[in-house]
Amino acid sequence: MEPPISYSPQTGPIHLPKDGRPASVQVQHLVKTFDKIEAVKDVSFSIGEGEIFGLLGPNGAGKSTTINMMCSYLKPTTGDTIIDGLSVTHEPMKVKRVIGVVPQEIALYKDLNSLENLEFFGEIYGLSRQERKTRARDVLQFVGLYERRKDPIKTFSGGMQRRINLAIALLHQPKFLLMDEPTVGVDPQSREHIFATIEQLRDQGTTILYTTHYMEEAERLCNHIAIMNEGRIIAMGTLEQLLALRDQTREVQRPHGLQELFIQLTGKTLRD
Amino acid sequence: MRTIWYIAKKDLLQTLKDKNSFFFMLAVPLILIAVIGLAFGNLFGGTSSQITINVAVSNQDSGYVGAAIVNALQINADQLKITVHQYQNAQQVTDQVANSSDVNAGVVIPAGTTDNIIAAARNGTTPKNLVQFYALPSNNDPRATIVQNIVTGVISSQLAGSAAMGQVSGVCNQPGNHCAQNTINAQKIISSVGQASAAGGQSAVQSLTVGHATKINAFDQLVPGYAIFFALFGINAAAATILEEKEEGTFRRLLIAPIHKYALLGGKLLAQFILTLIQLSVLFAIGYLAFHLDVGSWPMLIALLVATSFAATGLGILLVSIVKTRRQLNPIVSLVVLVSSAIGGAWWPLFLEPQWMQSVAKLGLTAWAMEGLNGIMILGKDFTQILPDLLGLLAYGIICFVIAMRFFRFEQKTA
Repeated sequence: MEPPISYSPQTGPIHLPKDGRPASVQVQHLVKTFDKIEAVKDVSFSIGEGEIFGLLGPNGAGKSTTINMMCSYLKPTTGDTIIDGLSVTHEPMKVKRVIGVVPQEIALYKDLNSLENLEFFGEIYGLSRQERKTRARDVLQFVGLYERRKDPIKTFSGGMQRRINLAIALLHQPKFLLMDEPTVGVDPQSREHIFATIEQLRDQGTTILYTTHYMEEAERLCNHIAIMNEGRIIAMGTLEQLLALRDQTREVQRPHGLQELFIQLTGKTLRD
Repeated sequence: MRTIWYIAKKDLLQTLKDKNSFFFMLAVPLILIAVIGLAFGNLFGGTSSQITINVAVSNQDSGYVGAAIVNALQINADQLKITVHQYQNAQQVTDQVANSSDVNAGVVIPAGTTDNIIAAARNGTTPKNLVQFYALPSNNDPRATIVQNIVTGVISSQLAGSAAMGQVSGVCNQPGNHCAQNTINAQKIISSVGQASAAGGQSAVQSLTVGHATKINAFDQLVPGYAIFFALFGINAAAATILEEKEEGTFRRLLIAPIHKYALLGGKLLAQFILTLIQLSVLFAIGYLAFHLDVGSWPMLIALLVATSFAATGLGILLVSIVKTRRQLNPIVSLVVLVSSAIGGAWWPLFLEPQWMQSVAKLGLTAWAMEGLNGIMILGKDFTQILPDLLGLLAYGIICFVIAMRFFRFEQKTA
């Protein structure tokens, strides 16, 4: 049995136990400062190959900024991320070829149809004509929208658009998938479909970083979970390890679920 | 380079699927050009140079002077056509001038006009107020002046003939001279001298041409003017696609993909350049086929359109670099386009503006483009004469690009 882990907002990062699996992703002391505001404060963690890692936190906790640095959209003030042995800071182009990002927003060309969107992103990722054709068919079948491949995206429901959003991220068969709140605003059926897709990807060996505000999603999907607040990771471990936590200073009882723990750790103050 | 083309191709595909943008790019300018060209063609000289005039005339004179005036007014030539509408009395003539917008002037020739001219000639006096000419008060219509000049010319020539007849009679009546009865035909003498007086001068002056005429066909001005005007409005749509991609998140998604950020921007700009060039080319091609545009020189026209598209693309990215949202973009583009079009010669020939305004207009790309286009299409300039405009447009585009790259933000600045 693994020892329960402790957390400390003051002492900084807590490294994740890897369950004996090699680390596919290593986030090393990431710091990001915008003007005088430190949005991410020395964040470090690692994700084992084929794991789903949940990154939770209230609005403004620094989750998106962390993800943006991990996928090389933002340059860290200090620190680095190693993905599949490649440095994001020093080899961004190589890293971009092995990662896929499912953005929080539905980042699709809505006047174009699914195939045209996939064709375009296939070109951008340097896939050959035959690869684009094959992979587009595969990912559309994977997300259950092959029959609607020639319909403009703007005619799709929110849930269907989310699934195409995911399909584009999978097109070039990434080893590491960053999913930033991929189920926002979708109906339960589409959400269930997305969950099944993520679990299938995990079973195929894809490493996934998953952020969400829905605690039940993290409880269901994630092998390991980190909770961020005010730019720091304040707790990290498996679900069981996190639920075993007690706030020594506040004499809080063991939480009954992740939601309760989350509120205990991050407080009840409303965030912007 | 391949990535740039992929991004441009995607943008072109999106535009192809947007029927509204095509309507705005091509149909709206063509409709506007046709309507304005047909409505105000005469302001620029029109496609037809014939001036048409309608005159209301009441000829109450039974002699040859009234008939001569009516004949002189009935003109149907290449440059001038006068239609004479005859009425019984002066009241009808004045009513027509006052109330009919088709009638440009009125002439009343009272009874006895011929007799009065002959009598004045015999007496050696100058007759006054023989014929009444009517026009609207404070009228600066040049067509009324044309009619007045014709009537005055006829009266003058008849007076000259009458004066000549007076001289002949004087010679016959001098002591020692004898003119046999019925050998002096007064009417023939007056008529011959009058005709010689009226027409002799015209044949004595030879009409020649030299150099290039400043020929302004309405469509030679309107097609390039409105083509440039709408091409500049087109940068609104192109610039909006960059802002839209930023707002929708696709720009970020592309920046996360394995492409260089300048390739991303290059693709967007290439699409805008191609769209602007297509828009200008189609409008000029239709202008040539439908409105008989005088393009002057096709190679020079193409060079100017390419340079204009380049400069417009630069202006587009400059605007995108200084605004943050599509909502901010619309009023700024409208202001820039309307002001630069107004003073830059899009709506009237640039060379008609005062020199200082032409200089100020060079701050916008419209003036460079229109100076070059007016040069080859209206003023008949050669390549060396429009080279400054070509270089001006290229420099304009480069300056815009340099400034835009200083301010353009690829990534977010805040968390």
